[in-house]
Amino acid sequence: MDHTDVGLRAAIRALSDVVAPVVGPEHAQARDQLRLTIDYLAFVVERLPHLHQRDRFELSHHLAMAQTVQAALGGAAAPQLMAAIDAGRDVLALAGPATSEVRQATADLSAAISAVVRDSAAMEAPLRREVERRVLQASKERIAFERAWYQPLGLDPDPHDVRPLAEFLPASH
Amino acid sequence: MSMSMDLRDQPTEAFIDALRRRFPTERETDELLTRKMRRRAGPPYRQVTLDEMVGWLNAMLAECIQGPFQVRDPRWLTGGASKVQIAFELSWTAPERGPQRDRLVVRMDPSEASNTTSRVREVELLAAFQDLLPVPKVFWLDREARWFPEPAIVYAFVPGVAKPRNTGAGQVVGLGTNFGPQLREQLAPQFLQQLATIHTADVGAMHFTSMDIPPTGTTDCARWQLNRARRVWEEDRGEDYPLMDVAANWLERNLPRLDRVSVVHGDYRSGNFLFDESEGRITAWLDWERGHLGDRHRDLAWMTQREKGHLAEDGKTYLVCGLIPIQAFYERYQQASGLTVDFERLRWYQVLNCFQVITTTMATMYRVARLGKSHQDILLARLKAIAPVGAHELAELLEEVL
Repeated sequence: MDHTDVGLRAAIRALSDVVAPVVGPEHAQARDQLRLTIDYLAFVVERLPHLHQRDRFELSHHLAMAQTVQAALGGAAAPQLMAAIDAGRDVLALAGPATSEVRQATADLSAAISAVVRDSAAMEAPLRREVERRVLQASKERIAFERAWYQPLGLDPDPHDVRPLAEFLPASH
Repeated sequence: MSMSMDLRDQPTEAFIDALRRRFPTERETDELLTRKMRRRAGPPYRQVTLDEMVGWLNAMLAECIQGPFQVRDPRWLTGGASKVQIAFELSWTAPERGPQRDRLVVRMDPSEASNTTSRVREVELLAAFQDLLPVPKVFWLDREARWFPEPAIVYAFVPGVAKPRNTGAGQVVGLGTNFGPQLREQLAPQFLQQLATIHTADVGAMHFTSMDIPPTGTTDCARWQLNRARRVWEEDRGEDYPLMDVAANWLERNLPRLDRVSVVHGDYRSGNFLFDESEGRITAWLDWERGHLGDRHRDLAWMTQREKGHLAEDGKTYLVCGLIPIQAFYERYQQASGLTVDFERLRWYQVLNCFQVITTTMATMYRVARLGKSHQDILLARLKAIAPVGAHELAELLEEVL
């Protein structure tokens, strides 16, 4: 069984209990970065159990966005987008895909959607508008997810608006 | 990630040239970004010691000062996200002032910063406002990194704090700083009046070599700023983000015309001024490195961004930079400056600024931390958490216009 979380907690304790007390105020830069390092490790400990779920969320999210963009395009040819949709769907259907496979499928989907948006200047205005609006609407879920993901770092000015992370994550495998 | 992403770690001349041609911008900005990309494949930042900093400083001062001098009490300054800084005391005989003990600051670039800016521009802007605003006096500039490993300036240390000593708000200085009702009352008029001084300054009477003057009545000003942001996004990003392409499309289609050339501070907000807490007086405006000549709406849109302020005690009133209710802000600015606020142009710059914030936090900070190019990569990694905050605001703005 993996015990990376135990190792990380031990690292935090070592930095907090052993290192921090001997870094004097004359080492302002070291103290500042020590605090940031401890905070970041604590954030990683909290998110560690969800890393794989995050990858799957991002793939699902981009697949849904790609499909809605493809639907807007109708018969218009977007072979890169269609290929990315097919590949993304295949990876998502696998029982235990490698992290690298999931991330590559996600990257291919976002690249294909971005390419469609960048090329939309050549489309008729109503179609271009429809594509842009669909991307905008779909993006909201990702933004909400990322706000939830990073909330422990305490930098969101409206933390009460942030939804619980569990709302976004598929069941653990 | 795909091969094109690795290209950004080791960019070819063809990649660099293609971006230069695709996104023409101010000459100095072009030079700085080109230099950044040509150095990208170089080694990571090497942590320097305080002794090394003092050694380089002594070498510089030996050539800049006639007569004996002594550097005392050097110490690191922390707080900013982009520059390496130390404070020290200098005993020397200053021209026209005689024997002095001056408290000074060295401000040096890391190998690659979270924003690629020039010390020359910073020095020119500080000099231009020396007699008009509380700004630190610049003593020396190491423009070509002759003495220090990277370009650096030496300017006066100005006493003051960036946020009240007893506040829990704003983990990053300036983001959501809560001044409390009394300081708010004291600082807000100065904040507005000094902004008006910057925006109404006579650009024609000032001497700048590092900044291009955009022509009025054209969209060149907006185009340069948009191209700069888009170029940096393309240079630094680690992934595609379709929402950014939607934003870029809208910005391209709606470039506003410039009505008047103002000095734009570029990062005018709480956290970038120091103040005397007991007197409630602003003692210095810092961080002019994003400054340029252009549209005042860029500054107005920047300081009114959501994460730079907070709600007042009533839980309803949004305070711009924690100082002025948003409803009163534009009216008081127009009174202080005699300049108009065009809300359509303001919205364009709000969208651009969100694009810029996402670019900095999601693309540049990622790339710099990934390659170990700065003195505080851990802070840059942490600030990625700001990206969805900027994206949330961007989506809300685009919802209104698409």
